[in-house]
Amino acid sequence: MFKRILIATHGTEGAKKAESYAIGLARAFGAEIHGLYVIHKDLGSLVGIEWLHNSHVRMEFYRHAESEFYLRAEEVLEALGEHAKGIEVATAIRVGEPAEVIAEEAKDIGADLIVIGGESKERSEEYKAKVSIKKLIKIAPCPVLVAHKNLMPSEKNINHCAVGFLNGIK
Amino acid sequence: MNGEKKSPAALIVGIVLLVYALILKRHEAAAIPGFLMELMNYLKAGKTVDTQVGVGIWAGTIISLFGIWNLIQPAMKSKFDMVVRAPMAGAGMMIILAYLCRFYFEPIFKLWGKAAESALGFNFATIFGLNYILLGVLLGLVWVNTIGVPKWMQSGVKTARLAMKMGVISLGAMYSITELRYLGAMSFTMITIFVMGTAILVLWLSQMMKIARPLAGVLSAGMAVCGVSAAVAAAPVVKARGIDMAYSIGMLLLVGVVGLFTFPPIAKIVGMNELQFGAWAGTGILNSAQVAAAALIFDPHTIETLKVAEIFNITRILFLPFIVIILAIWFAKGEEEEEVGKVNLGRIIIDKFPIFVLGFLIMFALSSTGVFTPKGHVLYGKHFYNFKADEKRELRTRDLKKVQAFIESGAVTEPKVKASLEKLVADRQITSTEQTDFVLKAQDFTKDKDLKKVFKEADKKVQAKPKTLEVMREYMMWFFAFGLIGLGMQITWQTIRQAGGKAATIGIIAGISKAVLSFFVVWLFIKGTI
Repeated sequence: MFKRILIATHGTEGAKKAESYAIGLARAFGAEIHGLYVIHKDLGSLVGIEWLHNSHVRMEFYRHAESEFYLRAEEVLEALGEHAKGIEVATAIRVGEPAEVIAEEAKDIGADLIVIGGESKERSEEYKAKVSIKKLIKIAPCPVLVAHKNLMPSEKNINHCAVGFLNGIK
Repeated sequence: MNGEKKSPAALIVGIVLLVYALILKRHEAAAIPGFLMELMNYLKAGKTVDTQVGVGIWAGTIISLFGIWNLIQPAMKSKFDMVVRAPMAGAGMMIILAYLCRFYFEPIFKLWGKAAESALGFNFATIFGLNYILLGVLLGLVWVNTIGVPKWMQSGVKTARLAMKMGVISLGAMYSITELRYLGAMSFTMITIFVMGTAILVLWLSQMMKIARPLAGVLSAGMAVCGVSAAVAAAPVVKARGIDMAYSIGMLLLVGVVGLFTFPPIAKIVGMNELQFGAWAGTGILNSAQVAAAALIFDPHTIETLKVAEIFNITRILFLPFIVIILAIWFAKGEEEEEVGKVNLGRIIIDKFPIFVLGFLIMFALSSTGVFTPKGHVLYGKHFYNFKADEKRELRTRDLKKVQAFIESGAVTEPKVKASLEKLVADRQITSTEQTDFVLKAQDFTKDKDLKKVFKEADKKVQAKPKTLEVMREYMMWFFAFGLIGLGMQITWQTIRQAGGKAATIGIIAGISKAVLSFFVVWLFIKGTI
């Protein structure tokens, strides 16, 4: 059924639930997991109304900010690797508009399922950037599973979920 | 950047400007009746038609020429292409926006303000300062947050930074030595107190609320010195994490924007003068670009407020390298011991010193030598205007008799003031720059409003505006209008909504205390005028 599951994560509680779904499904179907961390493209607008520095100072800021955001991304993906112990996990960090990047990445790696967290009020240790789920569903090359914020992905739920998918196929 | 594709954008923008200017010129020269001239009359465009035509032809031609070049050969990655050719389309578009604001929106709001005055009881256009600068910032803000800046405009919008620097550098020519000394001393005192005070307050609050040191560092630099610019300079030094930068810059933008839109109306309502508002805005508004914007919103047609505010702003900017050093040491001490030695002080000062301030100082030095002023003109006192005395500038006999009577009444106790007034009556006008100050001082000895007016009149009559400076001023206003529209286009909701966490609480507390305290300091201690 699923061979390659793309999980987009920012390391928040909501995203961790999504991770659990992805891992559970991967176990159920024997799929591999592909973890993706998206750094928002509007990062550049942080400098915004800054005008008085020379380009050297601005570049130093950009380089610093970039490396900090990458560092955070690596941390999150590393945590995903630990979370998914026993399953093969590939990871990627991409910069861009979240929904677009997720869809593109799914296409590139030939994912047959995208898993993301539902909307939650809690904020990740990152630049605030919501994934437009509506947009993602529209442009994604494969089904999208949005982890419900209140529903814990217990073994039972995941099995239901898997059965649901299988039934849908039949 | 227009990428490797041949872009017609610059040519289109250039032709629009050119065609508009040429049509307007033809209609005006031949006084062709019709919609366009009726519109100009309705807007009371008057003299600005010349400027509209002049700037339109000048800018339109240059942009069209580059537009043709860009159409034949796409802008590549070379430095010249990236800095000059690629931004042409966007820069031209921003000139069009500046046109719209200055020659259309501002006059329209002026008319509406007057029309609604009887119904509202006040002129909303004056109270809210709905002039071309405010409308330009608003237009930029609304534009970027609704339709967004299209790709072909993006590199043009970035030239706003250069325009701001050019604006401040040209402003350097508008100060006299006395003025700079007077404002410099005042700003140095106020800025020292407020920069240190805010930095300490933010660091203390951060410790109270137990927030991470990098976040505290970025936030205190931004809150204390010059907003986003300071945060950008401090972030790498205190090794701020992504979240720290997002929180603090979002917060700084939010507080800055709120300040920008609330300071001018408050000052109008309580009746601040140019010096007071310049000092208040220069101390209390967070982002340095917004200081210039607020000063121009308060007073867009003379530059006195801008002059005061920018001196405060520049003083603040000069503090930046030192604050960054202090933060670097403070941060290194909190880390491991050996880190302290690694802080390279000289390098920080050289790297973080804003070079355009040197341009400002050079312009000031040049101006002091008198290269911009024709012979016979002297820059005097705290005034930007030059001194000129000839027969056409004499006071009326009626007024002189009043002054004579005033001298004879014996109300003037200060001998120097009395001597100056006697000389004024004898010469029928002020004849030296020194005399001006004493004649103006004579106002303190009388309560008669008409007499006070005579003294002011005597001063005004000998003021002459040097042509070169007038032209430079006109260009400078375009630089600022252009720059502020462009910077308005970079205030995105996406950035503001990053504000959050404990940083938001600290930001609000520090931002409000700074604004309120500086208001009272200015209100209580700064009484003079410039």
